[in-house]
Amino acid sequence: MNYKNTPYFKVGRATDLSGKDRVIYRLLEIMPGFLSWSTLLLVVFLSIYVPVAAAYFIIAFDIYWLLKTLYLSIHLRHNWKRLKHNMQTDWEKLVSNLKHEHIIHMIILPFYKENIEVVENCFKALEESVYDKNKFAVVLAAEERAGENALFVAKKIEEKYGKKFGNFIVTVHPKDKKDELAGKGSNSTYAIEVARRHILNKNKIPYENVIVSVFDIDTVVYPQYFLCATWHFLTAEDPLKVSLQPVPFYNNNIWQAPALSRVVSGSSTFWQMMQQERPEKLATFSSHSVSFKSLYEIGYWQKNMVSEDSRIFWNLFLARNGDYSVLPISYPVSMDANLAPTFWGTVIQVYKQLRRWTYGVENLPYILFGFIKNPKIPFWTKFKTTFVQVEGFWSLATNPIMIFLLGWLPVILGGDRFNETVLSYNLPILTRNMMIVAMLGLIMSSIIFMTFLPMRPKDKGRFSSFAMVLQWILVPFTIIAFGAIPGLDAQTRLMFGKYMDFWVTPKHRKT
Amino acid sequence: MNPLSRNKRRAYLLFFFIVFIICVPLFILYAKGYRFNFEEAFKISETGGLYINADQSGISIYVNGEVVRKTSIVQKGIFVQSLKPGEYKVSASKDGFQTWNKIIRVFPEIVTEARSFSLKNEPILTEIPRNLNSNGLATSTVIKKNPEYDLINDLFMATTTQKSIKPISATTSVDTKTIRNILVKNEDGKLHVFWTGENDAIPNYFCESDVCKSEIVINGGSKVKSFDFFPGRDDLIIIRLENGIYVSEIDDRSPQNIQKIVLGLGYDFRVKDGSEIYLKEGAKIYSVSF
Repeated sequence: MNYKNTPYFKVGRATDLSGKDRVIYRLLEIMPGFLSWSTLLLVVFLSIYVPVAAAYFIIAFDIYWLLKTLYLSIHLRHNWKRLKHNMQTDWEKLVSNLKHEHIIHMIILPFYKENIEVVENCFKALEESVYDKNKFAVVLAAEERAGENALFVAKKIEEKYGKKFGNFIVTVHPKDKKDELAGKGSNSTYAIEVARRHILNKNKIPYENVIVSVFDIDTVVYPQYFLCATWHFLTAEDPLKVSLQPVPFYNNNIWQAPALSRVVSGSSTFWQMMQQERPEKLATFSSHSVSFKSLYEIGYWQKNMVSEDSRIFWNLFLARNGDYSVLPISYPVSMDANLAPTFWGTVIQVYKQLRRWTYGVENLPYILFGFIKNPKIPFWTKFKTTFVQVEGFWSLATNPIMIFLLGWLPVILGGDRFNETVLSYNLPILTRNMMIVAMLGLIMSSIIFMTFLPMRPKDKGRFSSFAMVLQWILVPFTIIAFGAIPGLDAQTRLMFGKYMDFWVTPKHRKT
Repeated sequence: MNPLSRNKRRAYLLFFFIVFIICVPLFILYAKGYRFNFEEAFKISETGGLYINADQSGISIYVNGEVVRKTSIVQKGIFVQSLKPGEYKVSASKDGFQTWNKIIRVFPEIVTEARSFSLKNEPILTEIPRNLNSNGLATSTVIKKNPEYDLINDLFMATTTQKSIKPISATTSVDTKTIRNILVKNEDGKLHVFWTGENDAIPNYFCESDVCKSEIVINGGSKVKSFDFFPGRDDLIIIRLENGIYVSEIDDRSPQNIQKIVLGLGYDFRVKDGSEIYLKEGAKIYSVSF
């Protein structure tokens, strides 16, 4: 039986299963949190009882971290060049060399309570895209539970933009549907099925000709996004076996967002840029594009979980027995950086968003369970993927804490005897020096960040530009407070079976 | 433009892996105190370190006559490493302050600690007036007695200081004082210092490498008439000798430093509330600042 037809293909959490499967899945849910907490506790334990061994471990870990930073920065630098190159490329010319007229872009735009300004920005960018808009099938996916105002926004948008694209529909996802977790996944799945019937079937459009771009509603596409995506789709060895991943920028409101939010979103961009050069480590994230046929075959997005943007990739990966990958297109889309009316509001919002993103750890039990259940996936693929994914979630939640907080632990907990050793004196000095060297990489970050920044608004002075450079000194703080801690938080929730619901990031714009 | 090729990435990964494999043992050995000895055909030798806690800023630390570093407001302790095991002459000095010297033994992989102290060459003595005029200013005409003077004078009038002085036996008069498990006894003009706390917490000056003494003797050169702990330090003792008031450290690693507060006959001292030092000469009382 094909894996996609198994009863656990769309499992959301352990409680969806029963018997032995449920136990296995539950253990896999416990595993990431257990691994991260064990690591941290082990370092504390070693620091107290075997401080010398803890010191050796920390020194080795410091070196590992520094080298990893250097290794990743090589990828970042290369992707920076590639991104700049791709942004200057005339994709229209490249696409014109290919047979492309049959390609239809279905654009799914799920939204909730975002205000009309946010939705309109998205549509303006679509309208300004360099592409034949007749080939666009735009689906504005509203939520019934968002109330009258959301429907009003949808109506206004339809009035203004409805005629500007080949096809345009508004869908309203009914509220309180059984077996659904209210969120983007259930809304998108509802919307795309309506679009299939009302647009594709009605117009007899072959499914394999349709590229679906599912965008968060704050997504502002860069002008040649659809050309770039089309080119990559058409030149891919097998377009049905890839998802197209752009680089998320958070430029929409970057000049209005506070430094903390800018650094966190900038770091997220950099992380995605590095991953673009390491596609085997990439799963789809946030706004991306994928073949309609692939989506249709597996019944679209899961409706019972939070991280549907990455889960759809893993669904496809398992359904195609590991023969599925992300094709990084190194072309940007822009979204909103976190911004709330107050500073503390923004801080909380950033934390919650990061926790939701890092709750992507819910994919780990899904992947590993799939590996157990799907014998058709080659062992080596399973092994590599498991290593990459486990290491990814483990390092996210533990590495910053180990580097910035635990480097001094043996000195504090190791006792007088350890404190008399040269090793004890050198441990914080070594850790500090290696951190300083690693931090020099932030200079590169700030340069790259500046090159992609939109023009400074007139109401912002030169100091704002200076702050864009200076902000990177916050990184040691942000990777703990808005990386490791929400990561641990998410893993701990999953470990204890306190499953998270979908939390919609409010999109606020300062006027 | 193509992504980073797999081969390039593998080469980078291999390179960093090799660097990691080489660096980890080297860094660990370095952190433990092992150094390349270039003089002896690249032999690796074990070294140790010194940590001098100066407790003051602006103090230059010398090791074997060469200045190592100066303490600052943020860094009042100086760590010196890569020292071959052996004895080192360490000094702490500052213009206008008395110099602290010590011969310290360095052991492989171990940091030997010491706490220096540097009193001013001439500590500032501020006289506490006996009388005040109607405006509260010092005067020679008796208008009003200075209550501060009376209060401090009372400390001197008492035969004992505020802290406990208990005769240990009926036949020998023994002064004892204790602060944070450090017990000091004055036995016939010689101070004997004992550690009374847990073995694990014994101050480093009682020990050299793993061997700890049970008792340290403070030898002031002449008979100690009275003593007290120096404010804020449990490793320094103020001692009254025949010819003046001095501060001695307990640490008896050679030399046991003694620095003067005031020279002259007839001075006595008291420490008030563990924070202020007062001197008395005849009827005159001074507060001391360093």
